Amino acid sequence: MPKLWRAYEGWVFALALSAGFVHSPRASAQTRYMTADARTGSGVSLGTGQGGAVTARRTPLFVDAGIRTWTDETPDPIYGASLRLELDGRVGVGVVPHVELSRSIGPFEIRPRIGAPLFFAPYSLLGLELGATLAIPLVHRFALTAGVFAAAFFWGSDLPGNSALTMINATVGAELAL
Amino acid sequence: MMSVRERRWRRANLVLCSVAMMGLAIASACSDRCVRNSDCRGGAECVAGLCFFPGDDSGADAGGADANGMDANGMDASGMDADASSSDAGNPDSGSSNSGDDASRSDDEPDAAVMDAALMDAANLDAGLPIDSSVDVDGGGTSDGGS
Repeated sequence: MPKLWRAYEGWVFALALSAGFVHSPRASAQTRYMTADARTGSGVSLGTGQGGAVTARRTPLFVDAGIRTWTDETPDPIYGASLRLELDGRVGVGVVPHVELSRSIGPFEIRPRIGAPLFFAPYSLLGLELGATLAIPLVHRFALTAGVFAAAFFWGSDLPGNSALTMINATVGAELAL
Repeated sequence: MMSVRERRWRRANLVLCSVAMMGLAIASACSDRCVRNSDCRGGAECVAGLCFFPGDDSGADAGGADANGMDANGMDASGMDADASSSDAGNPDSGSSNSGDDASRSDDEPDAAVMDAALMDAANLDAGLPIDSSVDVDGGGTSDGGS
């Protein structure tokens, strides 16, 4: 048993630390909020074609599953991260750490956001993503989301040589307050 | 009198439909040229919107690579696949159907008519027009290498 404990001691400690980070309202006299969301999207990818002409192609359908977190003391900015899977004619796996603001407009929330999509398997691709999400509260703790994002990619094995890659994507999804 | 929930649903529908319409409008303006290496299959690389296989830099590449690009993007047609044989010995994407023609074609000058036909097909694909499969780009009378 002690051997087993030692083997997992580090992981248990790390998990406890993470849990404390997420749920530590009493210790720091602040309330931390979290949401989990899933969204799917596509759009248009723009690259450099023959003679420098712009080539447009549909962005592969992607699915994001992510979390966002903030506290009542510092509601801005909201930090979050998503796992991104490209599923259309290929399978690409990436992460998108992001920072966003949140402003209420009537019953809606507008969230301008900047992120850094990084695909790492089976190809690599790194860029910057800028856009906004509209959250539409439906029922308690549940909201629909729609977003528009522009992304520019500047590094990675998936980037053709001597070519720029930009994307304009739209997403729809759902969000659950935890 | 609409309830608050009904109003929210209506607004949500309006927003989602707007996003969907925008997506459709964007998608309809797209071509099948590659913009990323992962748009090409079989290890091909995307160069200027076309899929090339690394090290494949023979003089017949313009037509052959174009065909690869179309083939890699799932737009294979009889004419395009036949033309791919001009430069793709060992091309895993071009299939075994071309093997018979590869040896004979590799020593020849690329046929101008064949190249024109392939480029025309590519242009037609981009324009959303059907491929003119009546042009015999294979030289062997059939699309499977004249075997």
